[in-house]
Amino acid sequence: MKQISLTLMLVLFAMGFALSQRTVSGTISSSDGEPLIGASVLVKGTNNGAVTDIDGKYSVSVPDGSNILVVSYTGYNTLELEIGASNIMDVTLDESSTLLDEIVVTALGVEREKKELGYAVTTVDGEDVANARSGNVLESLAGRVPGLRINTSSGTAGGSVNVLIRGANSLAGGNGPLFVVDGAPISNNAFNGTRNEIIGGGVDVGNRASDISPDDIESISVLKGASAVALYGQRARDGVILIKTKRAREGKISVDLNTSFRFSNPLRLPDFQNEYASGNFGQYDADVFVNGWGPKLSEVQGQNFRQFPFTEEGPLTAQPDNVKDFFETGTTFLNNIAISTRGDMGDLRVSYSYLDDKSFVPGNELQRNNLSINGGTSFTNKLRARASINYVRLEGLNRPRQGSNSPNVLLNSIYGMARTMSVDDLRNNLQDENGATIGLDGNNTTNNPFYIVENNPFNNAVDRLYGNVEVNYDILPWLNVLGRVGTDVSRESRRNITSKGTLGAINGLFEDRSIYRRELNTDLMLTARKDFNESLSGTFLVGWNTNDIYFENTRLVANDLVAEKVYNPANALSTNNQRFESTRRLVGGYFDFGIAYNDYLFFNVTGRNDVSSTLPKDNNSYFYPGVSTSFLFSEAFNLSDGPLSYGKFRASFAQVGSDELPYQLDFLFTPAADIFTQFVPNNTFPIGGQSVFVGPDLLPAGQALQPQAQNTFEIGTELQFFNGRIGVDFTYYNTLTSEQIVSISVAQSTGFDAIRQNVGKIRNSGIEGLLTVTPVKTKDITWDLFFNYTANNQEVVELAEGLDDLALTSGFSGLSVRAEKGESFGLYGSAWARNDDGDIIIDEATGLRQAGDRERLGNILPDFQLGIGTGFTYKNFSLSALVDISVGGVMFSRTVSSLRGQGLAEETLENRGQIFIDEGVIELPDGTFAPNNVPVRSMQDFWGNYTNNSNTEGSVFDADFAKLREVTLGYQLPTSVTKGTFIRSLTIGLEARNLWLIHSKVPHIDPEASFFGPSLIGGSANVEFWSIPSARSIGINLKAQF
Amino acid sequence: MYNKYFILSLLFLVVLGTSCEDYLDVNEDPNRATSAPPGPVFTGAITQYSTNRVIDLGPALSTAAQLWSGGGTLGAGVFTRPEQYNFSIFTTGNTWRAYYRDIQKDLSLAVIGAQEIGDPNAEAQCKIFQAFTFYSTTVLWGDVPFSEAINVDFTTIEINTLNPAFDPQQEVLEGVLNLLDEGIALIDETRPTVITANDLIYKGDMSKWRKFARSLKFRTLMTMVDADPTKADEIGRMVSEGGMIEAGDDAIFPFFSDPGNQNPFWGTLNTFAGGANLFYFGGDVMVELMKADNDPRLLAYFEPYPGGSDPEVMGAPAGVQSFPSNPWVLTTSGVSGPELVRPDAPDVLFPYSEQAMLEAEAMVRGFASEGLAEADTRLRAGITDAMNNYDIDATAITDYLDNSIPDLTTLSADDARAIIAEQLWIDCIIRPLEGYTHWRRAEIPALPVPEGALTTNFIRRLPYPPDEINANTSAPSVLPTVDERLWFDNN
Repeated sequence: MKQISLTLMLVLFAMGFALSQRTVSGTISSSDGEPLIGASVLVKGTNNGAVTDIDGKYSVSVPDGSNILVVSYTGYNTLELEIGASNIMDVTLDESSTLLDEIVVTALGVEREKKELGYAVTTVDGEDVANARSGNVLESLAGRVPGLRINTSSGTAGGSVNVLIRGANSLAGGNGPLFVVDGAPISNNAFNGTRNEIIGGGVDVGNRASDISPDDIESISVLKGASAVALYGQRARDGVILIKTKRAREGKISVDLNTSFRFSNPLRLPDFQNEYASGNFGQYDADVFVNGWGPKLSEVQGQNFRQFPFTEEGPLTAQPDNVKDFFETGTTFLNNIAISTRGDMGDLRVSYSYLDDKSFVPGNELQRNNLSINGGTSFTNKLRARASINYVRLEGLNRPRQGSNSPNVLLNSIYGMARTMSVDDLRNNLQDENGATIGLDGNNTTNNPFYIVENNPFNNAVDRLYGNVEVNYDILPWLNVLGRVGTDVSRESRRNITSKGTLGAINGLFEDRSIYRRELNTDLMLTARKDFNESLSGTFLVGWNTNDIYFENTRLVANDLVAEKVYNPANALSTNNQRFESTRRLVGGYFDFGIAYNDYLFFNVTGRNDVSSTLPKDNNSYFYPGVSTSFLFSEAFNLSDGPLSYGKFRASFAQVGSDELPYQLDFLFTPAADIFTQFVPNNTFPIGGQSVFVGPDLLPAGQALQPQAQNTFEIGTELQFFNGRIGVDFTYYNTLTSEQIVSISVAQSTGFDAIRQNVGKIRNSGIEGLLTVTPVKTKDITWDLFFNYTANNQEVVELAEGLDDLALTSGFSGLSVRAEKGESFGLYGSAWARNDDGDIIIDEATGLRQAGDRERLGNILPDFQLGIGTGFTYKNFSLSALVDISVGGVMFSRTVSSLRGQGLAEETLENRGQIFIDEGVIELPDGTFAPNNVPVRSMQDFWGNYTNNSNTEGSVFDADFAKLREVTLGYQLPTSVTKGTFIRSLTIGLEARNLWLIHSKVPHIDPEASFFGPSLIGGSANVEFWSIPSARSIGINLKAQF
Repeated sequence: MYNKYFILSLLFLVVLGTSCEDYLDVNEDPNRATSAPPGPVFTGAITQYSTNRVIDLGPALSTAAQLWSGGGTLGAGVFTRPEQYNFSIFTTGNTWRAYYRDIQKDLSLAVIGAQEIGDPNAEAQCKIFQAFTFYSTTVLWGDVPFSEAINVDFTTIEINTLNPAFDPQQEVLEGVLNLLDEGIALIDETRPTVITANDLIYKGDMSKWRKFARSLKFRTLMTMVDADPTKADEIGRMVSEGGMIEAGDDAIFPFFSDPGNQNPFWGTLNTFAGGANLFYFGGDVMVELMKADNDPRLLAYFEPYPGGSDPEVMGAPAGVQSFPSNPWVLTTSGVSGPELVRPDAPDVLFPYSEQAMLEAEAMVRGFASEGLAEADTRLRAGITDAMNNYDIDATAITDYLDNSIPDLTTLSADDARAIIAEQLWIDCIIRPLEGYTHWRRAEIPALPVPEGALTTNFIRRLPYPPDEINANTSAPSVLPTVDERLWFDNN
């Protein structure tokens, strides 16, 4: 209203002088042709000016003698133009690349100018995640944000992505950031089952933050330190990923269409040997599932052998492509249509996205529908409201099982099959003529992968509604109150089927799990803004927040099915039901007081007090403060005309307190549903008609528990040179998390596994750097480069008294992720026995290495990460590429160890049938050592020992990698072609993701694979076992605007 | 104007302040209970014991003690390595965890529950089973936490001893005797126990619990007597007093044919091999011994090799890595009669056959004064009971007793003891804990060190589980090797 009346006034003003002056008019638009509303046009040296209207049009009177027009608009470079003879002047403004006026979304959805902020924020534009878009928006962040580690766990369609900001701060898990959409927190729940369930044939079920459609994202701000987030309270301790969804742009009705079609295949498959048949020690054996140590194929030609499907004997022929041929070509359709409008009544955007992602694993598919509405209106000039509502329906079909100890683990039977098996034979021989399942081995212990794919699906479906409504009221011109209610409600059902007839579970079973989660978050904020004088202004915000999370997880296991393919609990001979529910609530009050001096010095004080339902009532209220400052020295000292166009220094300190999980305080008895049994599905209670109660395995903390505390300090600078052609953003941070609430393992002879206590300190310190360079910028050609660098150094400063080492999670046979005092989180396991000189000690009887003690085998997280991106535009063509480099850290691969132990990996060909003496030493009777001279009995013995469960070191690898993450090539139809048609713009692109694994030290598999998943402590460790290979995808994209 | 806002905000804060406390009062767990009666806790503990004994500990210990053989055919290490003394940390760890974290803790809680309601019988049932579990722990590992184990103040929720001491085995076994005495003293047959339906072993029959407790005491004394000969007197006294398990009093934990309550060893074979036993075979010493004596239990124990015209039972040598394919296997559900492997095969905790044979041993060795003739009678009663448990035909039992078991009175004490020891060992085909313990006392029959064994001597104990050793600062700093004898193992 104000703008319009100003325009009217100016127009009237201009009209009054019309006789003595000429009038210049025209349209101001951005470089992409969008009209700019509210741009200011000023005749230099006069008070004559105008503001553009809704169509970007202006009209200004120019007195005689004046001939310069100054056109400016926030976020764009200001232009001074000479007024020529024409009275029509259309002006195109280029977007400003300096940070001076950049707006960022900060805590609680408050938009602030970036220059004011005393902490590091990285904003990723929605365009960047929509180009070469992954169906999973989190994947698109990889390599783009300093301080952020993105790890895609597997190639499962709809699989999970681990997100970690500035390292792991907690010993107790939950190290992931908080996700916030349009000011209200949403769930990133990633419950993959318990550790045992994950190891025993767990699937990658994905995480909830991935449900967001990339096409609905306007921008993503990554708030890294606790200082950025004191206003969100404890859950923002590990950073916040703020997602702002798209709103209608200014202007008329707009229809946007974005469609992609892509093909995918495994990025990497193992290198197999193709010279030896199945069996042991050179003897052919197809009954046992040990598939690579049999006779040499070239030596048994002309002979016939019993082999799959075990009906008749035949010759053995190598099938080098059998694994590759098992996989299909994956296809991905990703479509979005959005319609939006903005007018006097307000704005509205309605968007629908459909994703159909068929992975290369037969049958594995993700279908996702996203419907979102975002709109706002002003009821009066004081009262405004807006709402953002999103509905997601997701179905994951046939998610493959990973790990071990389950007959349904897929990769075990694909990678593990004999090199002579043909995929066509497998596909055509699921059952014999009597209907009995045919195993891959004569003993019928390992399932045909096609049998699993066809009969034993793991499906899940999610229905989710999230969004928020906010109402804004200007009580006084300088005083505003905002109320916001956000909710996120989701119901996920999972069905895990093991059909009757499955080898290893011959009677069949199925599991139904239902996960319901509801979060209700309310905020009430009062904001006062006051200009004290010309150079001093202040903002004072006080707020009130409640957060309520209800979680429910019910599980039914139905064992021993009567009729085939009927998955109704009544069709099972025994069922086992479990149910868990929890409620946690939090009430918080907060303030944020900021003052600005002369637009170049900013100072902020924040504070928050939380009261949590999960802590002892005497200790459940805790306050935490924060301070931050920002100083624009380029403005203060007027440097911006020189080579330094922008310079800012920032510093901040903040504290965050946090609470406990629900129900951890009291000593409680659990009604037991089942009882652990090795090898087989658990036995169930009641037994003999009797129910069972058991005491807790974790001794609760009782009433002494304190809230956890985290202190973060960071300093940084943002510099731009040569008008933004070179930009530097550098941060140093130091975070100390103490009073951690942790389960400390105790001797089981105490009667407990662990006790819950406040202990431990963890420090994460590091640097983050972002360098942007625009080496070439002409009218037609632009070339941009960016480098972002992250190095985090974690140290476990303190554990409980007398405790040097704490297991965070453990894998198989001695492998564990541990926190050791003085070290970062590491991967531990038994190393090879070595003498004091570090030489590997060889057993003189066998010539084999020996497993030694448990040792640290490496860091779980990389030492540093580097993302390198480049963009090149020539006229209407654009090309971009992103390379992601990670150095340091180790990974453990049971897939590699199994391939080697079974004699299937290519390297097991070396020295076969020859004398091999391993490098190492043997101990002499006098205690000295001599170089080993004892040959191994066979290479099967060597690799069997090398990959044996009793040692971990043999299967640990450096996890360094370099990957070409994405490449896009786009062509925008020139406006001269589209002009006059209903099409406003049209872009065609080629896009590719995970195109090339440039460098890796891990054999056979993707060095990023992991299968613990986001829900486990230490889950960010790269530990894998038959994880589905990651995908490489290439496709085309079409974007149109009408 | 401003007053109005002020009053409104004040009111607002008051409303928020008062409702806040209720709003946050949601930390009571709806999934769990603040207390539990002793019965359901007791059921959990005994089920845990037998489940562990049948599947976690059982097969591994059975092969290590050469009651069974892994046969080596499948190359499935988890099934074959224990007989070369390479125990999975899951086998030892799961057993230790079941013993302490589950059984002992839950029984301690049930004892408190029984005391709270003033039920001495329920308390006795719990204490007797605690003693039985401590006995099981120490015969496997020797020095183990006893006096300071489960030292918890359940009211303040604090562990008093975070690093329970590893008590010498002699003290643990003395403690077991004391616990049993405490339990026996608490028993009052004139009143009912609250643990009746929950008592899957004796259904709350306290006179049977008294017999069971006395038999456990007797078994413990017989275990101790080689190292502590002063126990001979009490052994003799107990034999003459009697009041121990008699025929029909067997302590048995039942499994059920209902899915979910089935014998987990049967469950393993059923799940992995469709009911066929591809994993465990008869040990050759056991098989040859039984064949030599024409033992009628042979076909109840082992399934003959189905191939060929003359089906025959054969055993596999211990530790052998590549036994010819399709060897002779433990009987599966296809064989008639009470079988070792079936869904409702129970876990036998203490049969009369063992009681009778131990009494015979006490007499033969002179701890009890009833003499060799009475010893002969007890042995034959024990063998008959053992055979009846497998539904062996009465004439076959008589034939066996007449032709294969010499009259003990005609033998030297040592030879008589050897006959008894052999019978104890054969009877323990699915009771490896007792079979292995009694074998260590007698070392009869002679058993070879298996091919590929990790030590040059026979295994005398299990390795301690790493979890306990790593977490307990009172654990021995130098770990014994598996061929080091325990205190009791002193014949």
